[in-house]
Amino acid sequence: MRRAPTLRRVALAAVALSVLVLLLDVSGAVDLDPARRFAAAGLGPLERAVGPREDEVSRLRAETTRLSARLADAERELADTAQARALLADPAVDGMPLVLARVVAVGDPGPAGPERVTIDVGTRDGVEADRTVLCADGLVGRVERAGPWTSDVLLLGAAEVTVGVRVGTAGTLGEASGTAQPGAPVADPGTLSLALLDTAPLRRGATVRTLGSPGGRPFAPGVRVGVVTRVRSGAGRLAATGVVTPAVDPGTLDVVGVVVGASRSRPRPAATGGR
Amino acid sequence: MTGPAALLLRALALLAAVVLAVTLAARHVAPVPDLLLVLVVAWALWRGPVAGLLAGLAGGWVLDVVPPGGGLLGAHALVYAAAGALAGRWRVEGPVAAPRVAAVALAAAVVVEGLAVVRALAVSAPVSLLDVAVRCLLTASAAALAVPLVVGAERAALRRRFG
Repeated sequence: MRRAPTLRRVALAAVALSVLVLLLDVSGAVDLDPARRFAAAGLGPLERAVGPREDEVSRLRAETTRLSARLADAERELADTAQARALLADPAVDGMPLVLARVVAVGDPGPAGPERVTIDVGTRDGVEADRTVLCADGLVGRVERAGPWTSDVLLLGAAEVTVGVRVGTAGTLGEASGTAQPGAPVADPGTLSLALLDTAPLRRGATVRTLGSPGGRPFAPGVRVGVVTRVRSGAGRLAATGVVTPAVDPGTLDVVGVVVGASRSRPRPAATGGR
Repeated sequence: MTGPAALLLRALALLAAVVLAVTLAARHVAPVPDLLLVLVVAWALWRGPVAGLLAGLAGGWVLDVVPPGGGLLGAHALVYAAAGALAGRWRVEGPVAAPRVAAVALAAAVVVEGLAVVRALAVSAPVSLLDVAVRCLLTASAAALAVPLVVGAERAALRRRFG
């Protein structure tokens, strides 16, 4: 006879505890990442074991990812002026060391597609939080947290991801995000909302690349984000807005690369003015 | 079936459902029904709203911590608890017809997906209502097939214990 009220009390306590944890996580008052890392350390190997394995197709995709990263570097060097090439020779922007990984788990699909995936590399492979993740087609997202065996990646298009970008050959600055900026159009599922920071013109078909973050974290510069497919101007904003179709389809993700290391080990050489 | 071994078995079933869902998606199998919700609905229809709430809470916590997890710890737990409690309110004594199971699972799926849609709309994120509807219907269909199996297993375990 006492069982039902006891079960009710247990349920009430469990709900109250869950609400408390949720509020702590929302407020950021307590760092709950250790709990997530603990779960990743325990369950990551299970996902690595159950997830997709290496086959001929994924080996070829790994090779394509490696080659396209080298190609992107080469294209960047060719496209830039001699002055920019000299800048590229700077140790701070020298090369892109990559760790190749395979997607072993895809998170809750959500109303507009998955926002998170798990890859089979972690801190043991040199992966840290806030590193760029890319594949042969372009930018995939950024590492949200890294466990010893696996890492969780927040995909481009997730509500929490906003990327500073350069648009077109002029390199106009802007922001691309899964959520719409005030005055910018709400993107269709699978696309990004783009808002320029400058009053420069925006054209359909313009290539969008990452602007890059200090130290290359979370985003390395020059990685292809997508192409502008819709342009809207003058709707409550000085600068133009539009929609970007991402270069990467999250539904086909398999082999990806994580940009690792690349922290500056030598001081930037000083230049002399007037020469 | 209420001993520690039985609780462990149910927890393993929830873990298996979540791991299967995330790894199937990594193999590009899509759309996948919400296997976790199917289990929650089964236990809610078998034991009522409080058991449904607890099953949903436990399952949601598994979904929150199994990589890649969700954005906020506890968010899935509370959403699935609400869905489990709702499904449990439609519990009836005796055999339940498959269409009723499907209707209950559909209502629970609408709660889970609906809250995600509201969250997306609140931050001006895109929403694909067609994908959401397909997933809800797929979950309801999977529940109509799988819930009788789960309830049958629970009933068989009860018979073994009490004869």
